[in-house]
Amino acid sequence: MRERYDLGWIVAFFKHKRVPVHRHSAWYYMGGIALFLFIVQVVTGVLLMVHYNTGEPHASVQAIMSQVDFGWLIRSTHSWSANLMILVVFVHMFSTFFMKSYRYPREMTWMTGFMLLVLCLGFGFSGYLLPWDQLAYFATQIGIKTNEAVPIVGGFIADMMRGGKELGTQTLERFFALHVWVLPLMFVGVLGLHLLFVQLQGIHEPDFFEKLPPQNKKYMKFFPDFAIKDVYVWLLAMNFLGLLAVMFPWELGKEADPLAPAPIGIKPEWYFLPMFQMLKLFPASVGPIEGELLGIMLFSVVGLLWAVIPFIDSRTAPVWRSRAVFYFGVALLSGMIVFTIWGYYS
Amino acid sequence: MSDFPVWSVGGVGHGWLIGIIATIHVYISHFAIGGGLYLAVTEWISVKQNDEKTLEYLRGHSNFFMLLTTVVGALTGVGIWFVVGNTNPAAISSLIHNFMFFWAIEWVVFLVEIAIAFFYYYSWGRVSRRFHLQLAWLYFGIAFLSLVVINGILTFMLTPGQWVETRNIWDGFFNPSYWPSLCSRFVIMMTIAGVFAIVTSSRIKDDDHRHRMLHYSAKWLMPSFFLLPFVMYWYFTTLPEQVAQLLENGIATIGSGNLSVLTRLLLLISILSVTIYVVSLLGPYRNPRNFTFGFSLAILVLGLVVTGATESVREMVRKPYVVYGYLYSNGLLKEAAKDSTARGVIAHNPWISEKSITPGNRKVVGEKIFRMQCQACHTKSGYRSLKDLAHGWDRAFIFRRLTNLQVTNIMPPFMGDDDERWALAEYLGDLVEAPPLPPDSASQPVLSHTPQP
Amino acid sequence: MHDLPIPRPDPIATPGDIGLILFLLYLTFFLHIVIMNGMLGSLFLATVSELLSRLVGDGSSRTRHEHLAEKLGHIIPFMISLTVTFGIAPLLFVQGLYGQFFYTSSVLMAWVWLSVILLIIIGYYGVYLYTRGFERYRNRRYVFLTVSLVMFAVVAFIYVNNLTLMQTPQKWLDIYTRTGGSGWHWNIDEATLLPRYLHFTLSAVAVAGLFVVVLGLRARHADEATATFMMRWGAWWFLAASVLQTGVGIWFFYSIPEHLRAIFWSEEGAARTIFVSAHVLFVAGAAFVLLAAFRKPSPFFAWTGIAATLAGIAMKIINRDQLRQAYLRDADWTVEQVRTQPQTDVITIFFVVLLLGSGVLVWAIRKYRREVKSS
Repeated sequence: MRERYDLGWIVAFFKHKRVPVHRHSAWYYMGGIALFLFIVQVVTGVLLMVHYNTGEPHASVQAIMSQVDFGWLIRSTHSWSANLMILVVFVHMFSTFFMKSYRYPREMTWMTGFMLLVLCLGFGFSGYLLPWDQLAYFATQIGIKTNEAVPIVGGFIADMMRGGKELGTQTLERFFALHVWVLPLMFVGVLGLHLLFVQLQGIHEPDFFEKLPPQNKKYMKFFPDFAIKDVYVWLLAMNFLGLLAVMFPWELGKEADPLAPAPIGIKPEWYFLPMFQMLKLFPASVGPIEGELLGIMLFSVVGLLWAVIPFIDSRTAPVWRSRAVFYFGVALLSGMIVFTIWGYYS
Repeated sequence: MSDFPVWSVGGVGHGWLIGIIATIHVYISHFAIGGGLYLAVTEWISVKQNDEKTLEYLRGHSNFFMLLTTVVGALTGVGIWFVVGNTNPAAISSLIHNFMFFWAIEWVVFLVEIAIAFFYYYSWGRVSRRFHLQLAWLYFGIAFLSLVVINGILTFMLTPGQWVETRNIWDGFFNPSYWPSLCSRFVIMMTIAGVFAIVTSSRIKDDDHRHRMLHYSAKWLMPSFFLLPFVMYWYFTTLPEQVAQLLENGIATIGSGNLSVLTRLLLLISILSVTIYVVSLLGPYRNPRNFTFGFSLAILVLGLVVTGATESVREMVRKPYVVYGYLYSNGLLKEAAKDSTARGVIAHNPWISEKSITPGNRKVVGEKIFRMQCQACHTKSGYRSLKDLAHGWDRAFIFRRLTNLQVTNIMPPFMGDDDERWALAEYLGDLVEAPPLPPDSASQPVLSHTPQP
Repeated sequence: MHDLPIPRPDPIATPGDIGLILFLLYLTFFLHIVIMNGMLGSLFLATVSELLSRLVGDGSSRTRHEHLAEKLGHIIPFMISLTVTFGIAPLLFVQGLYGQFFYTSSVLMAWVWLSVILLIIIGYYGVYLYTRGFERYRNRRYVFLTVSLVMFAVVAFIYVNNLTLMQTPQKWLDIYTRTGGSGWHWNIDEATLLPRYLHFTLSAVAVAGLFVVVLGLRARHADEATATFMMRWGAWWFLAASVLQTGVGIWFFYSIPEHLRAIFWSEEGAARTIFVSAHVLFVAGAAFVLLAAFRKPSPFFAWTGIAATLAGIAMKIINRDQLRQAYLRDADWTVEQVRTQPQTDVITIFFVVLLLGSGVLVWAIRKYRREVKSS
């Protein structure tokens, strides 16, 4: 075997790779957990796809939950894991942000990471509609409508997503295709790059660690030391996921009825909640510009800034800029938390 | 339904309240016994090998052991007594009346156990090694004795066996599941001792010694890994037929959409236990070098969750009884429930001041009946809430359901006459926002609109 | 009086003679109350000394108070443990005789009653933090001690609430209707509540005073000055608490409904004999203790005084139950109504275990002492 395919270099590579040990090392597990949850998503997603039927979405999900062996568990796991994954990706992002791991030479890692986050949100948005229950239907409808505020192209984008003027079966089919083909392909590609960059450049050492005298710098080998810890963390994540999926199975609402009035106080999923809540704060119009449009513009600008942060706060950037970026991150994080909680309770 | 008033705890319900306290207690009290064996065995080996480092570790471990078991362990034990007394006085009363002097024996044993625990810890380095080791073994022996006593009372509730007929206290104490339960608890407590020891071992500063102690402590999980399946099987064979059936159904339907809580708990227990074994094997046993305090705490928490889940299964399979075949969960004696719907209950209940039902007080009385008969297990809108469970039912259907609650096999029968049943049905109907009955029917003689069950 | 909401007694008979259970109840409650008094009072005295050691300027007095606080701090955890353990037994026997009363009042104040578990855990760890962190938290350690003291003082108050509520079933139905069974009832409208609480807590200070006297006695050979300080300091608190107790005792006495307190004074009977002899013992005990502390540092006088005081407490404990029975007679209930069916074999085993257990303890204590001395 070894003669034919010498894979020793892989092992050697991982043995060579090392992870800095310091009091913030725990954050290094986040990316791994996100990866694990993604794997869970792929596995459970494929299993769900076998029984899911866009022709009768609600009935097939119901069948998955009541007739297919362990179907309830698979679906529950898929839903919980999806939410946890987005949460962990956020945590991962902010932890790398505050450790300033995005700086030279890791700009591309940050940007691919940001793309992965956007794709994750896309997964969440498209997957949410698939069970075709009352809540999914109306929450998605509101979500798509928000796009219409964008001038010129807004209506077009919304129609693209819906596959017409109304949210209906054709929308479901588009979302399904998006959820199981388009997004996964893109995701795997970007993820591959992201991981490749991480492997090529090694793990970033935060400033305080780098400044330590060499004899005080502690490292552990990625393989086997960090790898086995990753295994524990994955196992624990699996257990936590199991606990949630088993004890709090994901519910399925009544089949969506487009003619029925929208349920009162409908809200999007928690990861869209901060934006949703903030949009509510904008007045109907500010001067000639529509309030909602202003909000969307603001989000776009913030998102764009966030994506190019490595270039704003580069290694050579003046201190004030670096500090401003830090406060920007703090504001963003606390804003998201506050608005999520506010949105949840309002 | 007993003569006692009922505590309205709100959304958490009686079950969770007991469950939280009991889980902490069970975990720590098993540690108090298994950990005693761990201390004795480990000290014995260390003394034989003249292993100073391990003796020093044991000193620290026994400090933690004492601080945890004699404070939280002991007080949560009293806590169970208090909380059950508050939630189900009839149950605790029957256990106290039946087993008063067994409890008294348990008390003596406990007193000596605590005292020896103090002697053991405070005599480190102050007395001869021989005497210190004697204290360790003495502690374990006495702690185990406390299990021998309490086990009879605990198992009595699920399998009172012949006692139900003979009322002979020894039949109740050495009941069918006494021995398998004793064995399974013994095996489990070694595991828990190992888990706690892994936690304290992971704090050892010296690298080599830490690795050695982690490896050693992980071995304590092995007995249960190999023996527990057999012991549990033995335990299942001693359970009442109906309980065994319930468990079998629970296991058989894990795959399908049967989402009974029992099934889910069983699944959870298997997932978590397997993880504990796998992580302990991979980590402290095989690769102690990378096993840090944080991970050991994670195992500890997993163990706590498994304990909680196992204890709730044990509680759950006993439904609808609190003492199987004798006393229902809501404090109603099985014997008193024979002609459950023949007589009115509010006339004799000291806590319901309305002695007859009028259209005006119907819902008030309904709420009081709810408290008396349902609240032992259910809440209005929290845990096991009627708001969810009876969601979408209309009043007539609720009335019919109340007639034959016992056919579910997990609920006691409703006690009371038709008027009282209507009062409860109306109250529950309001709770789930069911449409009101047609105006004429509510004032009509009750029997005229009683559909046959 | 038949419409009182008193639950029917348990269908299972109480498995021992009433006399035996009452005896065990008195015995274990006596031990509980003496140790509890010692614990709560010591906690109070330790807090006082801890605070004094921070406030008084004089160097020697400061060290003496710090020393006393530390010494008490080391003993209190054992006392807490023993208090809890010796509290279990009387609670068990009370439930065998007065179950339907005790459970009902507990349910009516369920959250309050249950909270004692948490309060005790906090108080317990507070004392451990105090002693274990004596040096490390030098400037903040008084906080731990004070928190513990407050916890246990509240626990005592909750106990008095429940045990007064259990003997007045006349109030139950109203409470249950008013609170809707929320379990948040405090029995503060009870006239005897406050004097009864003060009666027990003052007694705690007095007993702890005696305990400090004993500590002083034992320190005599090692350090004369410290010993004299402790004996006087303890005796002083004992005296102060006893003087206050006289006032509180009279208040307590007159807060009890007239026809009930009659058993202690105007009606002939065992209760009156016990009541009177208890007070004679208290006065004699106080005289001996004061003599020992201020006149002649004699262990004999001190121990005689302590023995007399403890005997007085034992009698008061019997009085306490007699009063409870008098209260319940108002509800047409007497303890003789309790149905019994003694489990002679189990009772025998209990006594054997009790004997063996005491044997084991005696063995351990003696061997421990011998070995510690020789090392």
